[in-house]
Amino acid sequence: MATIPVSMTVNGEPVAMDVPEYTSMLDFLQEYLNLTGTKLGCGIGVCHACVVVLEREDGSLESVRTCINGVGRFNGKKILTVEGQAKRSADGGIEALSPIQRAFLRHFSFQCGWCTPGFVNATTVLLDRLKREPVPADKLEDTITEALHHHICRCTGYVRYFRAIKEVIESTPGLVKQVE
Amino acid sequence: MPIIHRFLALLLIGATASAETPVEKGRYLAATGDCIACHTATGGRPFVGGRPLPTPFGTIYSTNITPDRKTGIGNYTLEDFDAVMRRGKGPHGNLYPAMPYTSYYLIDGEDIAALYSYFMQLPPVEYSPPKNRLIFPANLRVGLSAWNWLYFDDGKKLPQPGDKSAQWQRGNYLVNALGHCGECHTPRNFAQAMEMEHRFAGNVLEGWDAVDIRPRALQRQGWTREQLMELFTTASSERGTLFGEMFRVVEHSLRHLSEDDLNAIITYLLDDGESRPVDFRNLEQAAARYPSGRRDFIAYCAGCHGREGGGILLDFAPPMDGNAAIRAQNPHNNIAVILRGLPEQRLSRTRARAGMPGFHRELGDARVAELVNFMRSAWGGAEAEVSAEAVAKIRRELSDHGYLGARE
Amino acid sequence: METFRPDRRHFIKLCTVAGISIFAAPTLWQLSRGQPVGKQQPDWRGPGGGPAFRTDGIAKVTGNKIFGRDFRAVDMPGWPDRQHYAFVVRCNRVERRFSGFDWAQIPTGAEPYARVTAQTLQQQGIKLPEFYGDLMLLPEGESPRYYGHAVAMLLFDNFEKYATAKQALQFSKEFIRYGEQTPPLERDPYASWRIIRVEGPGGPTGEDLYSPLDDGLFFPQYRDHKAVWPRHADQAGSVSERGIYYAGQIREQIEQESTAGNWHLVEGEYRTQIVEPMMMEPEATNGWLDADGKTLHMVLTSQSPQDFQEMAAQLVARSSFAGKIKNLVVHSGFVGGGFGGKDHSIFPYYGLVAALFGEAPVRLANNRFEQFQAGLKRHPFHMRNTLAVDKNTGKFQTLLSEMQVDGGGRQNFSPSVAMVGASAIQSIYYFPRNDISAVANYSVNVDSGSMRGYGTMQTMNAMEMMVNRAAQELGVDPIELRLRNATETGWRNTQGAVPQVKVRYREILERARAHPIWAERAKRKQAYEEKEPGYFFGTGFAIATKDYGTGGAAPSAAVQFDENGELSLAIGFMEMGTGTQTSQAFLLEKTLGAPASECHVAEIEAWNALQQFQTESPYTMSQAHQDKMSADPLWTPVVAMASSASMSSYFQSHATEQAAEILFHHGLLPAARRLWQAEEIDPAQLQWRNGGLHYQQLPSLSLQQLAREAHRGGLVTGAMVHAFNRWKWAEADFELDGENRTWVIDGLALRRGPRSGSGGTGISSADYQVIKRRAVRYPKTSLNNAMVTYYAPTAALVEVAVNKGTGEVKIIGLQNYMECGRLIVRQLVEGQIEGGVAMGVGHALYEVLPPLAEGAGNGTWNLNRYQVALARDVAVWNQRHEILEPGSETDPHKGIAEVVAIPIVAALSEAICQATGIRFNDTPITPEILRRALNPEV
Repeated sequence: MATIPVSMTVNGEPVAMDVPEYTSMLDFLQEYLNLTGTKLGCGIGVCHACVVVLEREDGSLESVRTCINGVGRFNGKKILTVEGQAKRSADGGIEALSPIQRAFLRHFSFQCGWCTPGFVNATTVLLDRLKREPVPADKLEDTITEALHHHICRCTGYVRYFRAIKEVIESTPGLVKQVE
Repeated sequence: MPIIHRFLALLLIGATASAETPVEKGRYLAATGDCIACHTATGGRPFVGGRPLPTPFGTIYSTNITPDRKTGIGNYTLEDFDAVMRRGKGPHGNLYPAMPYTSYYLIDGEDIAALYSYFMQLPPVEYSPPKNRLIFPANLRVGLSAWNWLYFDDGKKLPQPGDKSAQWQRGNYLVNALGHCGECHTPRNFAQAMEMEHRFAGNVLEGWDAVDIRPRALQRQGWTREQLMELFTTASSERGTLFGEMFRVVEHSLRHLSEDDLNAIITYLLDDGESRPVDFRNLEQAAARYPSGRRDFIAYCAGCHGREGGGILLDFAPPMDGNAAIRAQNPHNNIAVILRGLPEQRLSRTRARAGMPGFHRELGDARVAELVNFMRSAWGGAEAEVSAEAVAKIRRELSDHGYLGARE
Repeated sequence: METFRPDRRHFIKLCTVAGISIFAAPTLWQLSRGQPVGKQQPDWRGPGGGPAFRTDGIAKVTGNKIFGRDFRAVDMPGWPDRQHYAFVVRCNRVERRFSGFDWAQIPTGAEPYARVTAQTLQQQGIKLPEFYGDLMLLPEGESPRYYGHAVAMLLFDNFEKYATAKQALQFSKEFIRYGEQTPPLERDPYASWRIIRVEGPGGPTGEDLYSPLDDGLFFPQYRDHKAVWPRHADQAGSVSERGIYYAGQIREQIEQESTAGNWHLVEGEYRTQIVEPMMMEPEATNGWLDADGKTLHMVLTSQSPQDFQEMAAQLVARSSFAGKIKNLVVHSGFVGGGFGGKDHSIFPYYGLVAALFGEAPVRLANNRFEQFQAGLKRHPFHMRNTLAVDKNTGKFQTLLSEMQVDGGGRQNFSPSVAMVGASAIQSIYYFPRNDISAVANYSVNVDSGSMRGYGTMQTMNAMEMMVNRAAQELGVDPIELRLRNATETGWRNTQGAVPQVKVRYREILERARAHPIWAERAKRKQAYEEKEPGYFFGTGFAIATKDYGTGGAAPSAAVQFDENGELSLAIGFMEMGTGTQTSQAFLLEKTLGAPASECHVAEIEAWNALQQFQTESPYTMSQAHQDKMSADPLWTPVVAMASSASMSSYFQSHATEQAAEILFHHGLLPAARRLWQAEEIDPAQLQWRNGGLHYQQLPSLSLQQLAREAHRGGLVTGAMVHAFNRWKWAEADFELDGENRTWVIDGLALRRGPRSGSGGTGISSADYQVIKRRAVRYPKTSLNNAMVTYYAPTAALVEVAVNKGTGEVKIIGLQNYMECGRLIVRQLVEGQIEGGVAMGVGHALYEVLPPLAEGAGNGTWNLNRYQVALARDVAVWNQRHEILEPGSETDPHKGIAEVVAIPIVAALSEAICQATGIRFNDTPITPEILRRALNPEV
């Protein structure tokens, strides 16, 4: 089987290897990098459990579904998976959680946790966007709904995720414009 | 026993069901004419109008065609209705030709009467759509008489060539009169009149190419009758899937048509002929010629459209190998789909597709051109290359009209 | 008759089954790649009244949580690093004979090294466990028994070959060849039930004239694969003759009273759809046959690993692998959602077969298409119901229901789902008379199993729809009508049994009635419709009370402390995401002053210390057998139970609390006596405050001090219990330290002093000594006929706006009411409610799989077509809940995971009816259906 060379930065670590050319990004993370935090939900780009954070060239962030994209799409790019969201020590131990991770914990946002990596990553992207384009306070709930309503959760019914996200946005300076 | 008798009676009635009422006939004809598509706003009630129809001269809002006396067509006589439908003349002045009277004039009188009885029995809804927003001088309806005089000849009859089958003749009527297919699929001149010498040659509308549906094009793309039937009833087939306005045509119109009428339409579209099986597959040459196009296909497309473009499952995404859009002369839709993506769409509880992400942020003009060229030469038998400039032009047009804004 | 058994745990877990030693390695989560995430982060408890976050929370937000599906060979200690992959080939049609394969369809370079077919299985003597029926793989020449029937398994030696071949074959129309057409297969129903009851002169609390509890059950004959009930009626005859007599009386009375104009009848057909559980983690296994070690290892994503162990060992023992396998090691990992779809699923057995034929560890992992095609579904019910209401009093008089339940191609839990559905239709109401029958049928659809709701989602919502309709037709306020008919504590249910818990339906109804969404519904409707002329507005209410439990619950728990007072807890229950691990760890605080710092879920090994054994099925054993066996202090009706049916909070909590109390009583209390040097201590005056045990004016003692003393003095430092519940708890007498005492358990083992040094961490059977009970009192076997007697109610009040054009339903406001007794962790309960609402909304408005060829069994279904509720569908910013305060300090911790999904369905149906004037009996009420109904002329 034909292979392609792949090199990218995953969670700050450079990664380079040859993989079969049709490898999906999700399979690459799971089968080749042993990063199983990125989850398969539907495999057809609907449920958004598998999204990772892609850093664009201008430094802005984008959430990308890994189940429907080939590993080649990420060649030369910087990505962040859920495993890279918390600050870790050299041996991989967790030193500090991100604000959104802490908020999901505080709010008991999830149960089984399968959709959690997708929510963590997509919210990270939303926070990045709001840093660039703050949203009026009265549009905040709609903005969150619009940004995350594709993410499927089957245990906990979304309410606790959305409340946690709102809390993080409201408590982070500069993301919300006050309405006159 | 009485139950069985009643059942038999029903069967017998069913057998003579051709004696349908004018209302039932009108309901069917209204579906054939797809009236609901334009006369219903997104999320609005059927036939109350208010859907914005963008034209080069501004935005027209479709009218309320429920029989409300104040805001709809409740005061119309059959003659009024006929004049509107077939001559574009309303009780209060000429209609803009966004109303396809330029096709509807071919509808026969009996059908007009059936449509009238159908619309007049709908529940009246009081609703006034927003005012049209047109630029001068198009905002003056007086100009429409001149337009009609120049571009509209309601005396012209539908040609009925004697060498064609009866099915073809029926298809001819459905496609050209009620179906008003030409209104989208025919290029328009500067005054937005159909260029009848290029009838059905395709036309870009709302950023999509309403494709060339002339028999030669369809036959070259290899459409079989079965595939067209599948397309018209499910909005998807091995030759590709429908999106944009044409998806709505299937949703509201085509899938509700009788099998006979769909067959007639297909017969007409294929001009009493059949497509010859064609295989444009030329993967190796395409890969050699467009290596980065192939790489991008694998990186961006193959996850849904399958290895070597062979598709994975039609219910999920269509194959590119054999895809009519890839085989089409005009690469517009290839480029536009890659740039803007496709929205999710649901035809029924059991038929729905996920959307496709757009790649306009990530893929530059040269890469899109190379990707399109790879696909078109691998599976489309493309005769001409797509240039980066052509991609840039389409990108600009889409961007200008706000079609590239969707977030991923 | 096999189908009689309402049996969710027919199979027994033993240490050695058919010569194969079963080992369980339930704590895979501890192996997560160097991350000790099983050990709770120090701060999960937090300073507040409840836990700060879930014990497994950090692992889950950081991607450290390793689920059953995640394990690869390389992660498994002792396994080879090489990973092989298996693919199950499935039929997408049923009407033709399977006639072999076109092997040329396999892409070059992606050939499997092994092709397992029915022939292979036959040669090796491999047969499915009886529970699952036959034909694990369809033999050539036979027609598939159902859509999605497996025909072969292909094994690949690397991922790329597997992925390449799977893409080419999974949806191929050419790979499986079909021959001649065959007539549709017909089979007898899986089971039939009938619940007839007639109240006696003593009323709801008196003796019944006839009821299943008093008189027993009777069954139909099957003719032409249809259930034919006995016809002979005799008031003094057999159980069936008397039953038929009373059934006739019931019907005659309906006829008379309705003809006389006294009773109003609500009659109708009610249908529910096939629903996919859509747990987020598709099923997967990883298995390795270690030939040298004669050991078969299996990693599962199962909700019922105990049952798998037993049945898997049987499977192996009956096959030609019997001599080659001495040990079966079952690693049950964390499960990414189940909703019953992973309870007794057939899937792990395919994984097991893959492992048997694999040359290295073999991973079998469904993608979502496969999960739709082959995963367990929710049973569709078709009900013909009659509700008779007295026109003057508004009191319900009679309930008739005939239910046809489509079980699909394999029996699975269809018999008990039909039974539970039938026994639950009464919901919160009292009926003086009822005749309810339910038949679970075979069909060629994908098999349905114990999905969340377990029949009650289907039948209770039909009841609520009928009550709402009755209210409208009688001109009575719907909540008022419910108040008039709500059953009371101590009243009999349709089976003649008396529920064991206090019911507080009235309280919920009164609170809902006073809520502005309800009280001001007319005003709100008017205001909304004026503002939004494109919408109809409506308000709906429904209530449900879900039985929980199985009538054979057997929870185990062990609590121990080390010298430093660190508490460890092991429970038999597994964590499916509901927060069991967190709530059980937290539960110890009340008795032992601190939460468990370690909670081992799905523990299996430790219970060996209890040395218990079981004999016959607890559901069918005779009273005589139970009496005889009870004399053996190590006998128990059921050794282990599955993690299902909302079992953890009530049943597991009971065992956990009993273990904690025994540990306190025999470990901490004597230690305290010694440290305080006080012989007489009144336990009622003991109090845990700020981590210290307080008694009168004596200096407080920390758990650490007490633990050190207990360890030093050889006191009890660990208590392990097993309990049994058949709608009542068993209790047993024990003599301990010279003291006779009754505990509400039937098995006990204790650890004294420090650990014996058996090695390893956690709770080990080696440290524990069994304590034989002196006497035991088990609940009578006749309680099996009671079917269900534990209930937790939920009510939903919902207001919706229905788009007049598109038929789309927008939830505007939503208020839930929940009575769950004493809640353990509020946020977990609220999360359950919200999750239940989302699932209920999907059931009510969106989710449906068509039957037969268009359905999930054809293998083309996925989430693009199957619509589940998304955030925007569930009023994510406008959901409110009220959890009733417990009635007393001793209220139970009720199981709620199922009930929360139920009432929202009928509430939505009613709200839609109030909005549009159209009443729907069937679910789902999709936008397409509503659009057509609202625009019939178009």
